Amino acid sequence: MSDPVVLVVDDDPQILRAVERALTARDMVVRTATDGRAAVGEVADDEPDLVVLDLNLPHMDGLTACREIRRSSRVPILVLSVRDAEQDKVAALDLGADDYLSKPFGAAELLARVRALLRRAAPPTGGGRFSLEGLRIDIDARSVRRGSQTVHLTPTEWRLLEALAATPGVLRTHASLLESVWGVDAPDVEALRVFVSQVRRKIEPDPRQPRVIGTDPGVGYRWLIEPA
Amino acid sequence: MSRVERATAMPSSFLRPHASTWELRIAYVVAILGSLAIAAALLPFREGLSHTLVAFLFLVPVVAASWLGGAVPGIAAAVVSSAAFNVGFLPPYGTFSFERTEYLVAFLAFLTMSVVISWLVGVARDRAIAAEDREAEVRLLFDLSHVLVTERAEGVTAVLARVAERLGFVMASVRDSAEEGSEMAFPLRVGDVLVGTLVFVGDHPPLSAAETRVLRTFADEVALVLQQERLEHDLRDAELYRRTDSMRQTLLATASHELKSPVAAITASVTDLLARDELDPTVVRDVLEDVRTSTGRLEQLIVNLLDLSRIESGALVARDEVVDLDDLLGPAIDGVRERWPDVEISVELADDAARVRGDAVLIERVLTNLLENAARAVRASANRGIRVHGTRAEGDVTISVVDHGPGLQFGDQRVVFTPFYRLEERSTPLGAGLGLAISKGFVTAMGGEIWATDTPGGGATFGFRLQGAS
Repeated sequence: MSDPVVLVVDDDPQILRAVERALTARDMVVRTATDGRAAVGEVADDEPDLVVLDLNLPHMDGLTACREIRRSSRVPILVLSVRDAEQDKVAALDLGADDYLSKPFGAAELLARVRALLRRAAPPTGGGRFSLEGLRIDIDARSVRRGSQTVHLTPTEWRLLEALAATPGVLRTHASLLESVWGVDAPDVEALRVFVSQVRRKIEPDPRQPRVIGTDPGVGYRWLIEPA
Repeated sequence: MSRVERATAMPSSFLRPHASTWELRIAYVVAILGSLAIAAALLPFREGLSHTLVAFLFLVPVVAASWLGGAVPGIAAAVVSSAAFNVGFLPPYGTFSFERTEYLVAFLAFLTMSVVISWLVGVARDRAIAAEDREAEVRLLFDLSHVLVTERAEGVTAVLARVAERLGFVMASVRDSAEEGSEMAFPLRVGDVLVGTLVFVGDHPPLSAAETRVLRTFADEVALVLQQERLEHDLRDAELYRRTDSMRQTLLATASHELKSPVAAITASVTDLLARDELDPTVVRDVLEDVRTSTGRLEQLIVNLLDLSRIESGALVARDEVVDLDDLLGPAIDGVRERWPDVEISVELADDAARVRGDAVLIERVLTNLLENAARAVRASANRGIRVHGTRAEGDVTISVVDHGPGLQFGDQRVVFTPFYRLEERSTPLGAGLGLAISKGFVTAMGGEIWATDTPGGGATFGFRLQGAS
């Protein structure tokens, strides 16, 4: 497989260079743009594998750019923002962004998000097998084991687990999880919270410090462990 | 108006009371002396005159007295005239007796008729007077309201002074405390709210009922006006607070964005290096240079934010000294040339414009800010020339920085000096939008003025004016 192409859009030259340097060093091909209009053009012309998009851009702000890109492309979008107000994140996710990262961020965090999104975009490889300490999860075999014991999940709990494990490392918004698990007759976010905590009690080594299902407060959840 | 003017002519009382004592006295004099005078005048001709004519002539003082003083003097005139008619003109002369029954009838008819006439005339007169009084009252009220409404812009105090003068008072004023004891004090109430007390000061006879009514109504109007002024004041305060608050929010949001960006760049670069197994010296150097740039930005931003807070808190004190602009322009231009080598800067400073009064440090910062602003504007333009020129007019020196960049958008002239405002085309991470706001603060602190205009033929001109020195 050829190296993935990542379009990085930021009007701040130092951040642009830092992200470019970090991704290039990890065998990615980086293209850059410094405003929203250029970013939309780049996506149309070059079809990158991932877009890292700053929300605060001249000419066309990041949210608008996000919407414009989504009109014609399903490329994963990772939004960068110094605004850590939840509504900005939610607005970006509603407009089609796949994940977000608040500035300042560390390179490791950036790389983890980028890899997760690239993997999600790539065709699935291998079976959905995960392990963490004594926990063994095999999605294809529909089995969860803790040590020698089998963990029993209700059909709804299983659908939730499946939905999250399908995209390791990637943020799943409340809305997208509700739709995946319940379809059109989705209950409210409170019901989702109840099911997430039930699943955590059954599978997490320590449900108060979750290491399998992480919470993005106010936004959604994400699967934290890498496939085996 | 005439009524009010008349009141000025008679400062003792602004609504003239009718049927005053002297008017009543005249009416009685007319009633008695008038009847007697007519009797005396007709007496020599009584043989040749018909009783009817005599009776008609006797009605003249009756009508006159009742018109002058109302029904009572009229009836007095009727009694005196009837007696004179009987004694002087109905035989037997000189006595109050009736020679013939028809004379008795004539006497009774005259008495009755004259009493009825004086009563009717009196009533008509009272009504006319009442109507006139009411009209005067209403007109006075109209005039006062008119003054209140049309001259309100000058302030309630000025309106009250004018009203007091017109009504013959020394002064009128609104006081906070409710001194309602005096009859010249009127509480200003809107609903249950006491807005103040309207007090008239002056040597004025006790107020008539009509005068009290007028002043009380006027006081109600003043109360409404005051209430409205207070509400408007509150509204302005609220609006000011809202705008200040929203400006603070914007400032905070922008400042946090501007501060976090360089920090984000440093964090990302440094953590990237830390995560690598092997460090390539070229990459390390690259990162260090970026970190230096970012810390430079942070430092500049912090200096600017501190300056801005000194300006806004009023803590900035500008020195007042003679400053040689040539000494300041050199380093300012060198600094800008270093960062934007493509930009061509030319200076035309008139000999008499080279020295100004102000603070050398602040002026240098203003020149640097305006030059950097212009340099950012022209860096992508065909014409990269920036012209600095200084002229002197009367005592003031004006320095202009002229560029031929993209120029100002409509409306920019007013907001361009707002903190964190960035001209779209000049938007760059290196310009946080504080330079112009700080320049304005500095120039204002030195007692000068700063402005932005269009350059003829395209581009923007930023200028400032300071006091010239010899």
